[in-house]
This record gives sequence, structure tokens and C-alpha cells, in this order.
Amino acid sequence: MIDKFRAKFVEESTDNVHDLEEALFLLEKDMDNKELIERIFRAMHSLKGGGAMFGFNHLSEFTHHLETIFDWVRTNKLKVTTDLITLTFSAIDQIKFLLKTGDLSAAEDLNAQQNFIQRLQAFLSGEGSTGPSGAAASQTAAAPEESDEKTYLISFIPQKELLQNGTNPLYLLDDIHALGQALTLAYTHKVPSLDLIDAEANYCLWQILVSTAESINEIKDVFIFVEDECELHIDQVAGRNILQDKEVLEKTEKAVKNSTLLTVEDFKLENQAPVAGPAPQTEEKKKAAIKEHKISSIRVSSHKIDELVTLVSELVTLQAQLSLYAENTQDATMLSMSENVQKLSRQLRENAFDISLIPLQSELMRFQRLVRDLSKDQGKDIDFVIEGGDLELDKNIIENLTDPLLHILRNSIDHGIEVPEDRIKAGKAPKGNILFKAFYSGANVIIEISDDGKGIDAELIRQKAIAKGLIESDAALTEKEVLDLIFVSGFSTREVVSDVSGRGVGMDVVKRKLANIRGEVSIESEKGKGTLISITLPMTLSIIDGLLVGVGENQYVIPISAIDKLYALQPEQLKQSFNQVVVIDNEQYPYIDLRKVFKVSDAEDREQLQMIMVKAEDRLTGLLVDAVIGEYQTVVKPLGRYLKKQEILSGASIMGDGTIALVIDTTRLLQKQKNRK
Amino acid sequence: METQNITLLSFKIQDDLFAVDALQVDHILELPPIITAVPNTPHYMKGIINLHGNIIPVADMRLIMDKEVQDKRSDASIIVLNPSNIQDARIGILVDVVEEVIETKKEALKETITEGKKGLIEHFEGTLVFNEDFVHVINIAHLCEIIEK
Amino acid sequence: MLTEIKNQFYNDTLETLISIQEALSETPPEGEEERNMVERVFTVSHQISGTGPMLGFDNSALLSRKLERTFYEIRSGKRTLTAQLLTQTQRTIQNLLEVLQKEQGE
Repeated sequence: MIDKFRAKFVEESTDNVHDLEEALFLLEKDMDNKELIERIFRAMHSLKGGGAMFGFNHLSEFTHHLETIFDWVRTNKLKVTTDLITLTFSAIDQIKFLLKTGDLSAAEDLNAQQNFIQRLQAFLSGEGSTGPSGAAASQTAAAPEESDEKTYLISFIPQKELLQNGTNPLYLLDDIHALGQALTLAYTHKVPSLDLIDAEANYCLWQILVSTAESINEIKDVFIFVEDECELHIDQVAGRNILQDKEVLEKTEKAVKNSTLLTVEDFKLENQAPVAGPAPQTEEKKKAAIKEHKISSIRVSSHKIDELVTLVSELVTLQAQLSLYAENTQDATMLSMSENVQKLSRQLRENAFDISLIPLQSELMRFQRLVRDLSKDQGKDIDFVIEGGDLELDKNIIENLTDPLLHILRNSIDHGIEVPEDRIKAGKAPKGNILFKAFYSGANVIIEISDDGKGIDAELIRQKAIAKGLIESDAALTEKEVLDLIFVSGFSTREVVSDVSGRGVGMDVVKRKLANIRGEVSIESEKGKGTLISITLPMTLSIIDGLLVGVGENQYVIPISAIDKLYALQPEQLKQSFNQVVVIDNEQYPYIDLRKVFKVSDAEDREQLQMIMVKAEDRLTGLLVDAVIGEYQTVVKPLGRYLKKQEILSGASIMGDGTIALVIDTTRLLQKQKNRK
Repeated sequence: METQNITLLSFKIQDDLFAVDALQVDHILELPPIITAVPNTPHYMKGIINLHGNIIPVADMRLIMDKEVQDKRSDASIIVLNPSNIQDARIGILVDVVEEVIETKKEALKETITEGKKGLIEHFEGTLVFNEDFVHVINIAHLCEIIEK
Repeated sequence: MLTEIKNQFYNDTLETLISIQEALSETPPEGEEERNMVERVFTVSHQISGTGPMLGFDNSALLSRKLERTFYEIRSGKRTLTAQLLTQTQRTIQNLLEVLQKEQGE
């Protein structure tokens, strides 16, 4: 039981940490932003509290110190500095570590933790040397509109039965007054004439304007035990204390006199008037938007979503069987019912897949962290811009996408963007730019990472490839072909990297990892100007358009996206061929006989043959199959852990009649074939 | 608490009796008409089957235990295991005959002394004497490990 | 027989509530102490909600259900025990005591 709560805590805390990081990034750009400081403080506070409750004692202790720092910040005892932000960033890493490991036991971990806490404490004693006294001064000096007080309008409309359980509403009003300055408006217009009065019933209702630094939740807690017996609205009406404002006072008087309750709209004017500055309004709006977003979404474990998708896939399969059956019966009612089921299940499927998509946003924080940390380390000044972060992808794709993207970004920073001096020498602005851009293109998602760094010297790559024996010295390659060499395994060994372009580091790995999620990567670069890396991804992994073919006794699915053309061949055409090359329309194509690949005995002669031209790395290769059965949209299911060793199948698909077809991964098939040569 | 009850499902491979922890058994299926062979996999992998829309790989216990494969397998069944401590690890094992469910105490398990090699299986959880027969209890985690290799 | 059970329940509950009330009026609990407190309030409110209606303490049960629900949430980590909550809890227990006494007299 406890474990379940712990897991839940870790999950929620991960969100908290994420929020913390985001707020910290924003704070770095706007160091006096009270709301951000408050947000950071709150996140730390809940980490501390939750940590203690769920047995993350070290986490709790650690965040306690951090919380103290930000408590000082929010009470103006401490100023936000770049040092503080950097320290907090590394503290966040420690928090992540603690969340992952739980309480520490290894001596070195404990030591590291202790050292870190000392650093935090040193920060307080060192930086805070303006000390409590100075703090007090700055606090009094702070103008009232700078304090973090907000004004809330509480409408408390009890039902008649409120008093029956001994609730005394006056106590509640007292409690509200204890939160800050408050103004209570009592409305008695609903009290009936004496002869009709029920002594035990409540006829009053109240509105309270309260100005407090406490959160809205704190106010809600006051009413927690009466919420069933009343109508309750709590709305923030101003980002400061407006209880002294003449206009407000007038309005409240009028409201009581006329027995018309105040509404949030009544305070719209005050909201716009404050002396605070130009920004808060849009900030407020944004906040409101975020809040709405939070309410309109719920948290569901990914396991449940997987299950939903599985069930829906099952339904789709069953539905295919049903329509097959219906067609055979030729029964009109049956047919129309089956058609309706088909429509419904298609919609359901689209819905379910839509649910399993998550926004790219969730990973972007890590990219920002990477850029920030690396550029600081290397003394580079980089403006990192993200476009299209709200784009959504299958969660399995996102999980597998992060590492390659981090790798590409790292390369951009390490080897792309120059230090400011070099940039000035090259006639560029001292600040480098990296643009991360994601957008839809048809059924695909494209992610581009571009920088205005020093680019890649194609000539150097070419020479190195020759030296490595990857290409002939007189090979006539276009610049693009040369650049593509960095994706070839065997090119990007470490020694090559350090002295040539630097761009090669592990790019073959990047390519391979992306291929796992059916992604493709390409590169463009101009020496001195910059580099653009572009990744094309499918939107979902679990569903593909495929061509169903027969090889031996089995059926296989070849993704349509990989197919260029189909040819029917006469066996004689193959007999004339040699060296696995076939001539079609006077063109020579290499081909792979899938019977050989799948070890089907070649005993009986095939009467008819089909050649499927698939495209990979700008070349066409033929796949020889026995028969082409048809085009299907299918759900691809993983083969699971026991069959992961075989490399050329990416999964299996269940056909309408319940039989199974295996899905061919053409990229890997061609790769494997090439390696064999 | 000293005596721990265990539930086993026993089955036959050739002339020997074996058993697995019944709590980790998901389904018992008749041999389906088609098991889709997956090319380029170890010889004991019979292929994959469709179980309520899920793909389940099937391993032939005869081949795992280095026995001859007989042609006629009218009683053959697939026991679908769902190992409790490994994620996404459902697997079907093809056996000659499923025998019965045995309720017993853990203490009843004695150390296994195998006469002759049992193929790829290196060790057993123990051996039970049941109805004057030896029943060797297979450790599911160990079996899964073998198949995964 | 029923009266006897009723009296027993009334006396026990009163005693427990009063001791909680006393504990609450002291310094706010922390850590282990807080957990104990949460558990005590939850247990007693759970009892009143469950057994109360059977013995004619309907209004008490109604009131205690609110405590039960809130403290269930605290207990399962969905809500934190804030100072404000403690204050409101004290008030509600006071109410509960009064309602219980009233219902016992009826």
C-alpha cells in the first residue's frame, strides 16, 4: 500500500521538479518576478512535506535547506543572483537523484549530500550577511504594492440547514479575518418576517473581501467542513491589497445597501489600475490559462493507456472478422450493423491513439538544461529557441527520441557554436543561435535542429573517409553524399571526431536509434555558416499502412511508406540475372529473395513472382516475394522480449481472420544485407 | 506460517512429469491449428500465436529438454505463463499433456536428482513425489531466462 | 440492551473526542506526532460515521463524515494538514461534541 503511495509521490514530485526547473529558467530571465519565486518556494515546500510523509527523509532534509533559501528570497532577505540560480539548478539534480534512489546509504552519497547542504548553508550565511536586520529594513522599505498580498472575494452562501449541526458561521468569518485584512459584508435580505422565521434555520449570506498572502487553498480549508451545506466561491480579484481603495469601499457599501452581491467583474477596473507595472495582466491571463488546462486534464498511468490501446486494437481485429462474416452472409441487417460497428471502432481507435500522444514539451526542459549547462561550461553564449514544443507524438516515440536529440544538441554546442571571440572574428554576432523546430508534415513529424556555428567542412570528411577506406579516392560524391558519410558506422570513431568536424560523434548511433522508431535523419551544412539536422518521424508507432505479401507459408507486411513500385516478374527474368541483380525496364536493380532470407525451401518452382521495390538511402532495392495479397492498415504489435534477437521483423499484425502476419523492417533488412556483402 | 502452501500445475514431456507454479499460469490452450513460425529464431521457438489480440511466443518444451519431437500430438497443449517478477514476459510453452493441479506444502519439495540431462534446463526448484511419481518443479524465471537467450 | 450499547458508545466517543480536543489545543503536532493525530481523528470519525446511525446519532454521523473524508485524504497524502485545517478540525470536533450530547439527550 505504502509503496503505491510512494510511487505516486515520486510521479507527482517529478512533475513538481519539472515545474521547478521551468520556473527557474524563467526566473533567470526575470530575477525579480515574485510569482516565480513563490512558485519555486511552493514546489520545494511540497517536496519537503511529501518527502517526509513518504519516507524520503534525505530528500525532505535537503529541500528543507533549499526552501529556507527561497523563503529568504521571497521575504526579501536574499537577492536572486546567477550564482543562486546555478546552485539551485545543481540542487535540482540532487533532488532528482534523491527521488530516484530514495534514502541514501552509500557513504560517498551521504558525503556528497552533506557537502551540498553545507554549500546551501554557506550561501545563506555568506550572501545573507546583509542579515536579518537588513532584511527587516528592506521589508519595511518595500512598498505595499510589492508585497505578495492578493485580494480575494469570498462568497459564502449557506443553506438553511447550516446551523443544524452546530456550525457557527461567525467562527468561520473570524478565521478568515485571521488570514489578513478582511472586510465582511453580511446580506440579510433573505431573512423572512418574524412570524415565518424558523429559529434553527440560517437566512444570512456573506461576502468577504480578504487581502492575504496565504494561498487560495488556505482559504478553502476554512470552509472544508461546511462545503456540503453552502455555496462557496473564492476568486482572486486583485494582485494586491485593495481594501483601502476608495472605489472598492464605495462599491461594497452599495452592494450591501442594494442587496446585490459583488461579482468578480465588479473588480475588473481595480485589476487594471494597479501601479505594479505593465506585465502582470498578461501574466495573470497566462496563469488563468494554465489553471484551466490543469482542471481540464487528468492524470492516467501510461500502463492504463497501453491497455486501452491494446483493447481497442483487439476490437478492431474482431470488427474485421465481423465484417468478413457479414459479407459472407449477405444479410442486409447484419451488413449495416457491421458497418456501424466498423465506423464506431474506427473512431474509437483514432481517439485511443490520440490519447496516447503526449506533447514534446515534456522533454524540452532537459534540452534547455543541456544548452544552459554546456554553454556556461564552455564559455559560449547561446540563444536557444524552441518552436512547436506543443506538438504531440506517440509516447513510445518520445521516450526513444530524447537521447538522439540530446546527442545532436550536444554536438551543436560542442562543435558547432564557436566561442564569442571566434564568432566576432568570423564576422558573426557574438551570441550563437540554436533553433529547435518541430512541425507536422503530412503523416509525419519533422524536427529540425539548426545552428549558426562553424558548419562542417565537407572536404575534410571526404579525406577522412578515404583514409578510412570507406570510399574510393576518386569517388565522385555530391556534397550531400559526403556529409551523409557521418552517419555510416565506422566513420565516426573518436579520433576522427576530435580533429575533423567533430560532428561525427556517434551519429551512426543516432541514426540507428532513430531507425528503431522508424525515424530518418539527414544533414545539411555549409562551412562557416552553420548546420541543419532534420529528423522525420511517424506520428505513431503502433499503426501502419502496409502491403500484405506471401512468402512460403507465412504472410508478411511491408510498410507502404518504404515502397516505391511493384513489378510482376516472369521466372525467366530471374534466371537470366546473376549476382543478385535484376533488369527491369532496362534498369539494373539489386534484389533480395525473401525466401532465402526467411529460409523457405525453394523446392517447388514459383510460377509467378512479385518484385517490390523499396527505397532506402536513395537507392532502390527489390524484394522478391511469392504473392502480393493486398493493402491493409494494421496495428503493429511488438514481438516481445523473447524474439528481440531476430532483427528484420519489427512486429506482428493480427489479420481479420485471426491469423498473424509478420511486419518487415525494410531499413534493417537492407542494412543487414549490405553488411553481409 | 511455517508451512507454506503451494499450488502446482503438472504436465508431461515424453515420460517425465514436470510442474510449474500454478499462480503464474495465465491460460491453458489447446494446440491451435496454426502457430506462425518466426524465421531466424532458435530451433525451440515454435512461433507466435494470437491470444485475444496479443502476440504470445511459444517455445516447444520437448526441444528445450532435448527430446525427440513426435508427429502426433493430439493431447498437446500450450501453457501460457505470466512470470510474476518479469515485465511483459508472457510466454507459451508447448507440452505433451497437461496433467493436474497439485496442492501441496513447500516442505514436500525435495532436492532434485535428475537422471540424465534435461536439455537446456540446468536446475529445478525441487522434486515432489506425487501418486508414486516424481514431479520435477521448473523454476519459471529460470525457464524464461533460457528462452530469452 | 440497545440503551446500554448506546451509552457505552456515547461515553467512549466523548472521551476520545475530548482527549483529541485537548491534544489539538497544544502546540501543533509534527512528524510522527502529526501522523498519530491524523490517525486518531480518522479512526474516531470513522467509528462515529459507521456506528452512529445504528444508535440514533444521525446528525453526529453526518458531521463526522466530513472529518472522516478529509482525514482520509490527509492520511493518503492527497491533502496536507495545514494550520487552518487544524483550527477547523478543532471547531468541528467542538460541534460534534455538542451534537452528540444533544442527540444523547433525545
